[in-house]
Amino acid sequence: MPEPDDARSSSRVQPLPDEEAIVALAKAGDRSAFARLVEHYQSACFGLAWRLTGDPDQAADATQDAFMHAYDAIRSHRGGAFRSWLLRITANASYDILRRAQRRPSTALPEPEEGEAELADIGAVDPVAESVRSELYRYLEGALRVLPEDQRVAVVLCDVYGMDYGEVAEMTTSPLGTVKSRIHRGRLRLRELLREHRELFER
Amino acid sequence: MSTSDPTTVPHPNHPDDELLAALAASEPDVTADASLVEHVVSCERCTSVVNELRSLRAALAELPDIAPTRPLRFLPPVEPARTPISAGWFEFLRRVTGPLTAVAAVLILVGALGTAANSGIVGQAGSGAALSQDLAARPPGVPGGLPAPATSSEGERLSGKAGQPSATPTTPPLNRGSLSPERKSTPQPGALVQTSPPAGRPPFEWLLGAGVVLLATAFVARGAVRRREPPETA
Repeated sequence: MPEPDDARSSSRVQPLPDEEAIVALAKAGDRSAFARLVEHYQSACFGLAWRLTGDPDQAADATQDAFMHAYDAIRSHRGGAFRSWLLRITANASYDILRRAQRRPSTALPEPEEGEAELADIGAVDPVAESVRSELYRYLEGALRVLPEDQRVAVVLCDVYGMDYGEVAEMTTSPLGTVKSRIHRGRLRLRELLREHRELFER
Repeated sequence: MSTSDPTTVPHPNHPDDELLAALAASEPDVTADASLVEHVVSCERCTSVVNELRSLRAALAELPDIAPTRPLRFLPPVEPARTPISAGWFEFLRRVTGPLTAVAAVLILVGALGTAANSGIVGQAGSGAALSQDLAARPPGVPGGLPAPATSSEGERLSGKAGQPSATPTTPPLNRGSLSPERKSTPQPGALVQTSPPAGRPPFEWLLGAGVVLLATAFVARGAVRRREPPETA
């Protein structure tokens, strides 16, 4: 069975060959270099935002906000993987939008109750599903969408984007133990939702 | 994975599912629990749960990136170009704005006070002159007008010379009822006269105007300095 971190690097956009030099140019104020970086990673950022917010419009807003924040903060980038740095900014922007949406309950969809959620066929209702070709991915995306928000955020950040428990706790301003519990319950809930499609995991 | 699905039913003898989830994530504090590991290895149900959770994590980690559903803007809009200010000029502006504002404030204060004081004098003198001309224009004896010219004896009485022999002839009647040029130039005590500001007083209106101009200049300079300085970070 492949380890998550090993698999993670195989299906996502890879770093640019000369990424360090481009990041250095962007830090020096080269706007075209910065644009090249965020254009390269826009799908990674949008995917994270969409999985956190569960809404393509909010995801686009969050990604746009993240790019603007990243442009303002590029000089504070201390090295390391630019993708991870940009994804953290995107996650924060998405989480901000989630918080704002919670303060406007009239426009937010009701959170599915535990045990009542049905696995959605996102191909029938979600335009983003067009980009999700694999049947396994479709079911996984659908299962993620029906998770309670706190569990979805924790599982997406940890299992889909490889953040450790401490990073998730910091991002969601939650205690470490609470984050662990959310992740465990989220995984168990996903397993339950996908139990009819176990054969997909054995391919 | 098993298809009989014995794994979703909690069993009193099995460890808690959250503990199995922690074991599937290889959390050190859980993997160090030898009795737990021993049970999972020997239990088909718990082994299945752990394996499924690991497969689930692997699948989640493979989820691909997703293209945006609408075009995104990668850069903030370009700020309008500002007129470059050289470092020396900028430093000069930074230093001069404070004193310039202070000088402007003093000029405005002095100018305003002086102008107000002048306006009070001129206003009083002007109203007195107007009143004098108004009274002089009315015919003698008319109520509200100047009193009729006093006779020689009445005039002497009024001037405190009653009973004294008059040394000078009485004023011709034609000249009565209006002030003679000599009397205009040498007003009597209590007479209404027009006055002008004394010579040598500073032109306060000019000071006031100069103060306003300086203050405006100081504000413009301060604005230029603030635009040049980097914004404060939170």
